[in-house]
Amino acid sequence: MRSVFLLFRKDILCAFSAFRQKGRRRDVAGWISTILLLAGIFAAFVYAFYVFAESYRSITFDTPEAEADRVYELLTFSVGAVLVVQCLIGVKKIYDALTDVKDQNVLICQPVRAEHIYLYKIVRIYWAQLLSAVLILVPVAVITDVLSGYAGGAAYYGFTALAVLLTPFLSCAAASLLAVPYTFFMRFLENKYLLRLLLYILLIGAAFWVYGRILLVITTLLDSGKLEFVFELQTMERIHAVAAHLYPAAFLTKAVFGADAALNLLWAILLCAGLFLPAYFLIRIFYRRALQARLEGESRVFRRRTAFRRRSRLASLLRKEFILVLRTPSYAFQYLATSVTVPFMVYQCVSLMRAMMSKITILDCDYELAVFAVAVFSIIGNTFCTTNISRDGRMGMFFKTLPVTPKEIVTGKLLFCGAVSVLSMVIVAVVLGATGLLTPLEVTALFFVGVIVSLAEIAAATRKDLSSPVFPTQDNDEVTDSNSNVSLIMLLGLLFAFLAGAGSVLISTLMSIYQIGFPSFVLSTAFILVVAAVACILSFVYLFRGLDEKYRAMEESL
Amino acid sequence: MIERGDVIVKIEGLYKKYAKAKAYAVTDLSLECRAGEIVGLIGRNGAGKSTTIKCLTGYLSYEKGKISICGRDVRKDPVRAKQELGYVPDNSAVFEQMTGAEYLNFIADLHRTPTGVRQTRVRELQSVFRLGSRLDSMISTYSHGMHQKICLMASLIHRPKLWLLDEPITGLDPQTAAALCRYMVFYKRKGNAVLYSSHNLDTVARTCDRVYLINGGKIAGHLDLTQFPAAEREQKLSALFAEKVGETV
Repeated sequence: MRSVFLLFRKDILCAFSAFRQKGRRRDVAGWISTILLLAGIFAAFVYAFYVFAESYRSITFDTPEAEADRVYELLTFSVGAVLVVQCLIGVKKIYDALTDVKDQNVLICQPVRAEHIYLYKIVRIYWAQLLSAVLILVPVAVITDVLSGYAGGAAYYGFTALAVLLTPFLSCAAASLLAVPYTFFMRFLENKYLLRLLLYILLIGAAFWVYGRILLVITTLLDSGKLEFVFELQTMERIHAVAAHLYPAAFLTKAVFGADAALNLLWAILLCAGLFLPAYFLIRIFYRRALQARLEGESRVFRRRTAFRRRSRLASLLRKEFILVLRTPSYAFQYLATSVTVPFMVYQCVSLMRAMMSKITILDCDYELAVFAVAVFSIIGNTFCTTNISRDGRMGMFFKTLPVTPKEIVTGKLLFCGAVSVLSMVIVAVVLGATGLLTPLEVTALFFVGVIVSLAEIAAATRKDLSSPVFPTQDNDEVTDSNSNVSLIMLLGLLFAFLAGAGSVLISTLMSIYQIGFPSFVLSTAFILVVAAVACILSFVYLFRGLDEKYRAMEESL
Repeated sequence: MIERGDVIVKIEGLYKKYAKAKAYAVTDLSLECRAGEIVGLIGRNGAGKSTTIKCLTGYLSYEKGKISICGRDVRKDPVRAKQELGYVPDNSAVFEQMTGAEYLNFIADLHRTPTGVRQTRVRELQSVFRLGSRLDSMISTYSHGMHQKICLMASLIHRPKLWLLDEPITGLDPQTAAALCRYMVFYKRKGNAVLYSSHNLDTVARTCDRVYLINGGKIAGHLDLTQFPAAEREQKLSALFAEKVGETV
């Protein structure tokens, strides 16, 4: 076991090595924006859960004792959702640990047993999942306690703490078992880039569908003020029956609420052990073999015959961008699949906001809301462009030795990202037009707004990355970690989207209040187009001004 | 038109300091390399060989000095200067997600190499470096040596006037290393210049016409190997190393 502790010591040393370097520039703005973004997401989650929980608790059908059932269901489904999500993330993390070479090409040569490396990797995953479990389940438990008035006191919070500790254990154990078939599935998908992209699109589509269902509940809640219209008596009976048998989440919830606490906790612990033991032995057999195969490059070899023929520099740079993104699974997922599916997210969001606005005002501001949603989602989708330079990895610096100007390199990237954004906006226009949410004229205006906002962000994000690139140091040159450039650009982008969107809604509202005999669509479109165009021009000036000097000095940021 | 003996590379008074470093990595360094010769850069680890090469390629910026390739200033006319350059980096930087052929095509596109020339060059280079059918496979599946081979091929696809190599022998099997040395000699005989850094004095003695010894970021010595018989060259190099660096090899 000493080797496991040594491996952790190595991790701690690596993690803090950056702080020990003298004269290292600290990216304070990036850190602050990351913290603000995370704090905002956390606060929104807690508030949304509280509002939902309060309404959900009131679905009693005039039987007061049903309130306790609702609170029990809330906690059970929360624990269950955390378990499922953590299990899915755990499968991915364990798969990465099994197949990603990273530090393993060093570790495999050292006198460290395979199961110790596995143990060290799984404990690392456990700590990360424990943190997320604390951040989600503790506020959920506090809210359910406050709402139910359950007088469990110290015992309630004591068992909550145990449940929080056990949840990542259960998910890690289950993930360890599922990681093996997942590895075989991923090997099947290896080098099948288009099939993989299609699967990603379907996966995100399915996630949006679930999201849409959730939004339906929210819109109904907003329309009626009561969830009983969605959750009818029969539905609630089914939900209760499922919650009662939703193991292993039910073990933990029952323990928290003091129902055979010791026995339920014991069952949860036994289940953990029952899952971990076979997983441990399976991985022990599988781990070294999988790792060895990866280290030896035993993968299905992708072959493609290429004709040697000339293309223009720009066409070649554009093609390079496409190949790199398509053939790197995480990039294809983050950018291509997301850009294709974002339009459906926009549609869902516009539907929700339309319902919300109908409660506040009788004004028709569907177009302005669509503008806001498009701005927000194009900002989120194009945040990927903050890796435009870093994505080239070691070739990012090697480009400086090739006869190509910084302007040509950047233009290739702008064209690629611009083409993806235009495609995404075309789908947005088709979806919003076909569903009748907007008129053809509004759809056309929306398309241009979306494209201009996207281009503005692409240019700003590219320059930010050029100013402080974070080149990956792994062998495959893949950017895997988020950095402060991402959060800073996203925060600024969202702020812009909010101001522009809110401005157009305000214009529309004021024009209706003061009954100005001029179509509000024209004025709000003019406003948003001017704002977006100014932002776009500023971004392009920011990108191209002093580009040659910045590009030449790029080494300094390394 | 460049003739044999014309200056291809000229570095005058080069100073380079890394952003976070206190001392200069290269100080007042001057050297030149002519068409039809192979020039070697030797020195200990961290002496400044790679830094000099990287400044020459535009990979690194520099504080002071003048660098020209075929008479074109690397700073003022970078694109045209780099068109005459074929560079093999020490880290085998390539796009791993491309196939070898796609990568060669990409580099040729950036150099605007005509279709016919690149087809002839690929055939020619394939016979030297022998990547075989692996040229159609993804580079991420290549071994270290194969990475080095694809970098070598990419550096020559456009027939550069200057072939610049940073530690090119590292990671190559003995046959390929020998083939590379033979090709360097063949390439200089075509009227081109070859400049490379190496720790391997034996290889340098066998291939180079002139050698610069770099120590502490400065040119510590210079040797014209053509003035000595082949059998004495390695001995002369070792003696120069011992005299200037203070260590026997």
